[in-house]
Amino acid sequence: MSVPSSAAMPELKPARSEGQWAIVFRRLRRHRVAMFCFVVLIGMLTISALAPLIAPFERDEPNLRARFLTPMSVDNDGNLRLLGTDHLGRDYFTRLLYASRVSLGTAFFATFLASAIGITLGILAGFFGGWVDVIVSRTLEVIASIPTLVLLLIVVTVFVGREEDIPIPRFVTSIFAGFFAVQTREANIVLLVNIVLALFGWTVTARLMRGMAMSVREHIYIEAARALGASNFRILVRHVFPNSLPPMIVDFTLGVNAILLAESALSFLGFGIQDPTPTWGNMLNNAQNYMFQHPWMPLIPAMPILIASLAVNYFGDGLRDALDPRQRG
Amino acid sequence: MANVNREILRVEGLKTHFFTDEGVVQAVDGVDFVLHRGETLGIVGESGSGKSVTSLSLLRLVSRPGRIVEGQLLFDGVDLTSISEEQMRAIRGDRISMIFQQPTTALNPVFRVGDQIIETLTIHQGLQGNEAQQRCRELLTMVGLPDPERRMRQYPHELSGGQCQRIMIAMALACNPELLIADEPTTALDVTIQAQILDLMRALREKIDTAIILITHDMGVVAEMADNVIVMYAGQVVEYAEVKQLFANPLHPYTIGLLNSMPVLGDVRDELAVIPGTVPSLINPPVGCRFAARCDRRFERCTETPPMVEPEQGRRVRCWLYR
Amino acid sequence: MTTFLIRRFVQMFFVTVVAAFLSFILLYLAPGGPIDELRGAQRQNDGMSRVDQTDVQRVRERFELDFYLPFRFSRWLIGWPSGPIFGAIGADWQVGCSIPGQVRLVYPDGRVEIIEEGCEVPLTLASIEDRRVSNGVFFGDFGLSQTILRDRPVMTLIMSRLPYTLSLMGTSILLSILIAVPIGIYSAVRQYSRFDYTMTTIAFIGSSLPSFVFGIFAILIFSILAQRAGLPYLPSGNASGARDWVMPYFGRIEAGSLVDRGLRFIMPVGVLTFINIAGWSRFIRASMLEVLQQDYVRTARAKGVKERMVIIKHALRNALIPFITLLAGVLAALFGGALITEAVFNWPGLGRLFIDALGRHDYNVVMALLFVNVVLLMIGILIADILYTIVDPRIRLS
Repeated sequence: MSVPSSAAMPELKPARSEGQWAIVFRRLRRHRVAMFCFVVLIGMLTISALAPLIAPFERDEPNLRARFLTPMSVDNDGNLRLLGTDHLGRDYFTRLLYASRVSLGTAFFATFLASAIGITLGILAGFFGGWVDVIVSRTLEVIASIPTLVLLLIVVTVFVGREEDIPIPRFVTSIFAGFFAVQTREANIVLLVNIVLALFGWTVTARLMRGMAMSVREHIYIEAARALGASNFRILVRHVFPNSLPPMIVDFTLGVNAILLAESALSFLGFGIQDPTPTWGNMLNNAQNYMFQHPWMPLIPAMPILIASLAVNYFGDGLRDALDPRQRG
Repeated sequence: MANVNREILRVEGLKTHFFTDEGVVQAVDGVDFVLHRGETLGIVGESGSGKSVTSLSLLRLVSRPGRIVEGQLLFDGVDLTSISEEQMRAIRGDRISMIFQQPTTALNPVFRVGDQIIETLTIHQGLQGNEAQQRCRELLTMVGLPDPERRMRQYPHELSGGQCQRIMIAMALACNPELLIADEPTTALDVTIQAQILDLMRALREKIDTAIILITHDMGVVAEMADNVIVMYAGQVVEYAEVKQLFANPLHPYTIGLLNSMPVLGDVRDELAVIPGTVPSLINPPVGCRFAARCDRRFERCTETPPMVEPEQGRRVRCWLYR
Repeated sequence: MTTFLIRRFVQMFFVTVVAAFLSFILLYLAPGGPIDELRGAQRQNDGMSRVDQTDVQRVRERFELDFYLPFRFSRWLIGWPSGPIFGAIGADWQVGCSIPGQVRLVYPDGRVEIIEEGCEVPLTLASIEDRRVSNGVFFGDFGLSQTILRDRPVMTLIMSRLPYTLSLMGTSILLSILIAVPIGIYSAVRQYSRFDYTMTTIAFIGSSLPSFVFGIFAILIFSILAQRAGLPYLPSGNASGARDWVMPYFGRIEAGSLVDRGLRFIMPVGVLTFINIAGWSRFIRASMLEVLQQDYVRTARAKGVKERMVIIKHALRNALIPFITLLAGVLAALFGGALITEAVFNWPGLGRLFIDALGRHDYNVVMALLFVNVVLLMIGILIADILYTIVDPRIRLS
């Protein structure tokens, strides 16, 4: 099938100089909504980073005499429950803080992994072509032939519950337990979910990167670089990568949103990270069971999902505008 | 050319500005000219001089954020800026038609070229069915496309650039317009095809007696085609002259520069003259003469806005040198 | 065209088989498989952790775990092998292992572990002759459900759920197209108008938020809060009620009546439609804006075509071409259902079935749904490619 090449590809220029990045930042600063969302995001990340310090209670400490307390109520020990308590009497505010660490941590870490895979494979496929391209493209095709959520559900079902059997070195688990602020035995599954999300989340990036690498390869200045005796690796690092950076950055923000929502959806369906490890998704899943009696319950984990998702998306949108070479000024 | 003295178009003080985020771009800033029936007027200038916007303004086709802010476009005595959109639409393609620079993209890729020509005939003349087909075949033959029957059934991507431009010409002439605007009709074509298209346009002009506005940056095309010439620079007309006079005795330093930058066959020169610098920004155009910064004959007075003067009969120039 | 079709069918065949095989391997390599479940169930029932060898044997046979993986897969795919070839050849060929060999490992610290190694009783073609086997999914037989509807054909299960998914997805997709296309066009034509700003903001929010959050909010507002406020409310959960109920101001509504069903239909359709509209209208708007800048649109205007016709005839025809790509997935979506939305509203469609089947290790059902989905997606893409050539004369199949 041949589609005439229209104006779909952005115009490519030799690697951007510092001045062009300065223009991008200037444009971005002017985009008020994007800047506001950026601040919101930084705020959320800061809060999640400080979660263990801020949290007023133990994360999993149940209190059966203080179940389903509404926000801002005081339990029978005289403690203020800022956002109430859940069905086991665990402090909702505390769990929400830890959940933000897991959910946002996953969103960024898994996207980072996925981008790394996608960029590497995409560049290799696009730049070298041949059998590398065939393998990458076919893999993309097979993965794309199954709906992502279905695939994630299957893989997660298969491994969740048996995460003890997954051979991950202990020191790795400890590091990630720290990163996600979870106990060491919970880290395995969190890490697993991250890896699964990344393993099936790299396709968009790879496809984009492949296209970029292919079109960059055709450009004159690559010919010139080759003529000057630059090695393939050097061309990749010095020319292909920097040129592909602007769309990659936008792609990364979209990826963060996609993975945030995928993790939430998995947990919401009861397949992802399991209680007692809190995530926004599984908190919402729990809350759903009690929402008819306690309608406030789902609102509390739903709000941060809404806010994070919107903030990431609006910021990404502003970033895209700022990086668009067709815009001037 | 019996109708030479009958005026078809009078443009007075045309200003078309673009209201962008960065500021108001004064793309066309005070253009005046008169065009008579059967006359061919060349408009020349570098890209960004406002010649294309001028032509789109004549059809009121300037798209957002651009807008005609001032001026009169008297077409056959009617001011085009004051009539309704529906009246304007009825004129487009019927009494004034236009052909564009990129013939391959100017045709709709999903419709057969025959249908695209017939659409014009249906809109303005109510022709349908066999009658329209017949007229379409005539038009295709007229623009020199053999086997019109087959051509009509083809899609634009199956035709070459030159063939597409012939289709565009056929479409533009379908309703025998009184004014044809050709915006760089040959720029996108190969040199040999360019000559063929110019020949075709010349032949058709003899035949149907249409006034033509020919927009180009190619002085050679102007020399071959035009009766009179307007030279535009930075949104303004800087010189107006009969074509022979202009080539024999250019007045404005910019015109002189343009002619010097044109290679002449058989004329061995050490180097082609190049006008240094670029067209100024039209957001905050320079005060005084807009060409002053690039002009090798500027003097103190050039910081004031030069008026249009008429140093001899039928010639006008916007330059302090001729005051 | 013919060569294109043949090549595409071969390609589709391979992608489908590879995708099915990978999912198959994944599912059956799953540690949390049927035997574990059996062990778990026994432990809960009598506190004993030892499972009878015959129980294990039974389960292994039932889930065909005694077959080697490639044979298990080919039995599922094409119903082969089902016994000696032509009734005689290869009667003693080994295709699996009935009873695996067990090795007792005694660790120095006294711990004893039994691991499976080798094969005590092999499974031969002759010994499987009496086994029930499906005709293979390629011939339309998806086998039997293992846990959800024990020993009933998967097909029956799917057919009983299909109408729910079809009605839900069909309605919402149709509504979405009918609403999204005009919104997209109008937004593009009136770019930067108040309408455009409002719509793009709504669409932006709609396409960046997850459907389960929307679903929960919808239930909160239209079911719970409305009911609490004593207003008419929409019932949530399931496609028809189990008991009669009273709607304020309207009176008694009979369980399972048309009104009951209709009311329960509104929210899931509404949520799905909203999300689709958000995504699609943005897409149409972007595509339309791109097309409106094209030279041929200017040509059409210069020809004196009426503005309405410029948009409907000259621009829209081109702007809808990329929309075909989005619609390629519609066929699969029609039958695949919406996993999350069905889960939120407890809608008894195929999406809900998929989640249940996964949770209850009914892998025949999971594989059947997956297979159908992949095949429909492939067909959707093929139809899209063929549609492209019809709509866009520049594109040739080759």
